[in-house]
Amino acid sequence: MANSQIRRTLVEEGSEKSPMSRRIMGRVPHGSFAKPPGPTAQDSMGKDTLHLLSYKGEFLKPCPGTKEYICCGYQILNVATNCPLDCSYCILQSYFLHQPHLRIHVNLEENLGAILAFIDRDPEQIVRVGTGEFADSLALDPLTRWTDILMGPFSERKNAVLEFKTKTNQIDGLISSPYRDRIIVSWSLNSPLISATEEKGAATLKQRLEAARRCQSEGFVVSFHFDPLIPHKGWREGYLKTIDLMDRHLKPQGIIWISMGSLRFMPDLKPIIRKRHPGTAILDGEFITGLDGKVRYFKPIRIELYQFMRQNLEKWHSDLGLYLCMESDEIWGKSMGWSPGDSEGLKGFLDERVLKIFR
Amino acid sequence: MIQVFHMDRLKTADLLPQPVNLNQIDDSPGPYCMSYGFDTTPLADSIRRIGLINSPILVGKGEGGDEVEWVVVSGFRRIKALKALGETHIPCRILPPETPPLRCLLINLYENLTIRDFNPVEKGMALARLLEWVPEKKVVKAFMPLFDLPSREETLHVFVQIETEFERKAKDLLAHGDLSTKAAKLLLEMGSAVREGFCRYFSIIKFSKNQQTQFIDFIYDLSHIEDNAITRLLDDPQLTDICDNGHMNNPQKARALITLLRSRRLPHLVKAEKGFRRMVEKLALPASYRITPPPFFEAPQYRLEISFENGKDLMEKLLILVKKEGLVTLEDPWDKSV
Repeated sequence: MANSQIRRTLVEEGSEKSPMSRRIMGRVPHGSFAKPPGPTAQDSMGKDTLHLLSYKGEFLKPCPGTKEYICCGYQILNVATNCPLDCSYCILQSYFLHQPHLRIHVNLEENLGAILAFIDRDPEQIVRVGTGEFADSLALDPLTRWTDILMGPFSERKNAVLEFKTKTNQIDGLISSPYRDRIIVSWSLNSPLISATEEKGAATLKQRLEAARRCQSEGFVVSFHFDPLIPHKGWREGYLKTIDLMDRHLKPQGIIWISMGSLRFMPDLKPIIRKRHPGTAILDGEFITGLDGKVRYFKPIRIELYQFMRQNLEKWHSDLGLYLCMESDEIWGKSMGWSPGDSEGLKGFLDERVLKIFR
Repeated sequence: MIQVFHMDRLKTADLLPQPVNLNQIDDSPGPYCMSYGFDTTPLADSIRRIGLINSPILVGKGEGGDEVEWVVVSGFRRIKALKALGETHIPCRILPPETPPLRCLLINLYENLTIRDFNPVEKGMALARLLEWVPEKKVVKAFMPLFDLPSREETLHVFVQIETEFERKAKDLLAHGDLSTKAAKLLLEMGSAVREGFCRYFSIIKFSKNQQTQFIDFIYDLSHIEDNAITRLLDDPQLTDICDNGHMNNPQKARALITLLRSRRLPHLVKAEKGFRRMVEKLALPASYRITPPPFFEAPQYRLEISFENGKDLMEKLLILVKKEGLVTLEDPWDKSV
């Protein structure tokens, strides 16, 4: 998947000697190296261009939640920005409007020490880390082999978990690794219609769940994210089908958590979506401006979505670690029947899940 | 380099005006023109009263055999005004035929920059003309700030598109401030028939800037949701009836259009707002009490305001409120299932 889409590779000066650059350059189509950067059409976001660079910022950063809504306290490991998939709802379209290309931070290995030192500074503090915030965690793994770099060090640490979040079935790197402990493999799921029409380039739902089954059978802990939930024609039946597919493929006991979030975005994303995905139906919902300035569904719609999902997921299994991503205490209470109260409470709930699943 | 430029500048200042037949001047917006949507009347009045102060600058067309010999470098408005006054010959400064086009363009640009503001269409004209001779990066960096525009490529593209893609009607509205730049940007994403449909509304109804973008946004969304062409939506009798309503003034029409579209675009929210208003009305509280919902009902708390004169008055009003029947029925105004 990743290899076939790459039309050219840009290597920033000084980045060509890093071990990751050398590995990637050995795997991408021959003769595609070039010096950066030429302006790339914003419409395509440069998704056919692999851009190898040394990242100057902090690799590990807390998820930029807002105080108005309850955040899970996740740490984002910023290994790359942008992603070869092209989901119509993706917030990266506006985040990285002026930073096109599939940007791989090839100095990850050099910075691994600092990342691990952050985790080690307080062994009592559980650190939940994910690489899937600014890029799909596994879509480019055949080239980058993030799995080789990260799984060992995280597996050795009892106070951290590393979550690979993906919409692909690129699990070879995971499976071939000897490490299982403290690794969570996670899939974003949606209704069959949304998956098929709005998640361009992603694996089909069935492929994702087959990959999840394989990971479970290989001893991995898995998780799922129903995010963004999108009400659409026949959404109840659609999401039930997905839950039914989960039932057919997975053992619910091995699931550490399932998050739910509804479509939300900064207002500047809307014209970008309209332009890049003219046929999309995701903007047809009834949106309001949330307390954080993001556009989101009118409150009762969100409550109904979460209630429905919660009821049906709990029918499948009662202990799935269900939680809401960036929702208010009120929405938690009205849709989930309980609330962690605040971000600290949610962090505690998820840390407990880590302790329970990774004994 | 600086010296050469300085000498060129002196040369331009030294040019002696010579009489030119107005019929031999091409008065269509040529390669150096950056004037749009202007009214020649005040200028014609001024010329009539005190004469032409500053003579236009022309350059030869460069191709023989044509009756029209001159292209306007600077003074497009003056030439239009002089024609309107019925003049036949006017004094003009003539640039040497070998004058590079970029220099002609810059002469006009800087002359205009010193004496007036550019409307958005004129900014687009100037930037589009600059792009023919100057690399895009330089236009972005060096020229856009001259027009009080941010040095951003997307902004440049928007203004150039306004010049190259907008029809006359849309340009007129924009030049006269009847169409906001933000709304113009949205209209750029649409075809000319759709744009024409919106412009029809904007030329009749004086929306605020915010209302213009709301109007476009609602119509655009509704066309997707209702699977209806924008042009047909714009012809919807519900909308056109408001435009034709003789009992409403212009701001009332603008508000009525937005309210109508909002109720179609956000039916559950509007229903909830109405339901909440009904609930509050049912309480029949005196005017000194005010209960309001949070914006979009998003925050969990409603708000109660009480106007009072002193502590005793407040206590009495609180007691009235506490005893108010039906207060406990005040709740979220939406159905369980939406």
